[in-house]
Amino acid sequence: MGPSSMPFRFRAVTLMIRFDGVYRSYSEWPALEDVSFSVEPGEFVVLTGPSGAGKTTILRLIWMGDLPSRGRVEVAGYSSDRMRPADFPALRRKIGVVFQDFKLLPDRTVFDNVALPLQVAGTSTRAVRKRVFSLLGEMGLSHRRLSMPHELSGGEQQRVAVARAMVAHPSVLLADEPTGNLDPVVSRRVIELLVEINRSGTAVLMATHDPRQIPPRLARLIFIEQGRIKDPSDIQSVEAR
Amino acid sequence: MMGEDFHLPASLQIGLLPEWRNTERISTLAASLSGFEGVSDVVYGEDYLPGLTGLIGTLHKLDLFAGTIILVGVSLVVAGAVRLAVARRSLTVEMMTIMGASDGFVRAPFLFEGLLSGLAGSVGGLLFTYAVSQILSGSIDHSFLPGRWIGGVILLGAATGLAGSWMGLSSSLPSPRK
Repeated sequence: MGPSSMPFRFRAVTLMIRFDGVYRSYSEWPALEDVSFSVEPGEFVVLTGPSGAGKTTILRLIWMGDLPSRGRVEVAGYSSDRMRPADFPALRRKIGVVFQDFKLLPDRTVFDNVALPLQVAGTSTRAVRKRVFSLLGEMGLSHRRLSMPHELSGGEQQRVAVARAMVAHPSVLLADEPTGNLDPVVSRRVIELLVEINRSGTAVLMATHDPRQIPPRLARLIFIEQGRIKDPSDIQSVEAR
Repeated sequence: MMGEDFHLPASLQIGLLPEWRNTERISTLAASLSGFEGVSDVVYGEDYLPGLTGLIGTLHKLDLFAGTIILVGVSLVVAGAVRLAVARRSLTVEMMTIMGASDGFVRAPFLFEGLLSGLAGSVGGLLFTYAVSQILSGSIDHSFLPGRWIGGVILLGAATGLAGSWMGLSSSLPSPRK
């Protein structure tokens, strides 16, 4: 039986993320130009560059909130040029996303916020309760499970956001300036949390304008400026400017 | 009882079944009645009947036109309301989409809302019409809508609400852009 006659599709995943000559423009304005890079399963990659360089656009292309204008994005075995409508939710369930402004739903408790990705995926109520209680316990948030987001500190809100991103066991975690709204002490804790998540086997791609937050031995650096990938050594010249 | 003093009335008023109430059939009937012995004249408003029938036909068309306008209007209102609801819950919709919610999972609550709006609108409209009908019952001889029509109006309201919310969602839910 050849592969084409099999009653299912293989998704061989050797690379978690692969950008191949990706261009992305918005109203003729080029946000990304000829971007190519890859991320292996379990790798920690820091995507850095000045504001407006295209970091958020890259993250958005990874969860396929947008598609490339040219070139191809492959994530967890899904390719941007072969996406069927049902593939978008299936791909996104393999990805956890953490935002700078947390994006917690203000009218839901911590428990309900963290439970949302599982409910969206149709997980049974019992399994949702078990997983959410367990994760909130691991992250030291059990006592906050009935709190509303506005009752939490910034650090707690970001930990809830990370818990929400991790609750469905994603293959890759995207973090878009996750410490942008936090003080240095809390920022360090969030970074430690991301490193811990990465050590458990989840690939992490963190976008930040401050790459010094992560020790170089823990992560690979990708530097982007004006929509183009640059040599990481260019960072020093940018910092000098 | 029927002696010399018995006389037929000077005129007979003839009621017609609904299927006979059109100019063509009335004139045919009038012609055949005129042929009866003792019938000197058949009066059925031949001067104004064609105009009246035309007017009624126009009114029916206007009814249909007004009904269509109302249906489209209600659909647009529901679509607008659903767009507002999506905008109000844009963060929830965005997060659900990012987390991998299926299209149906995101759409379902809004479609349900549209369905309920349509149902509530049609039931409210029927209740209002019934109240007006009761108020007028003393002065105008009429009957309220038959049961099948009531069911039809409620179903049409629900379908209109559903269609409106579908229209509203199509233009306001996020989808991957190229």
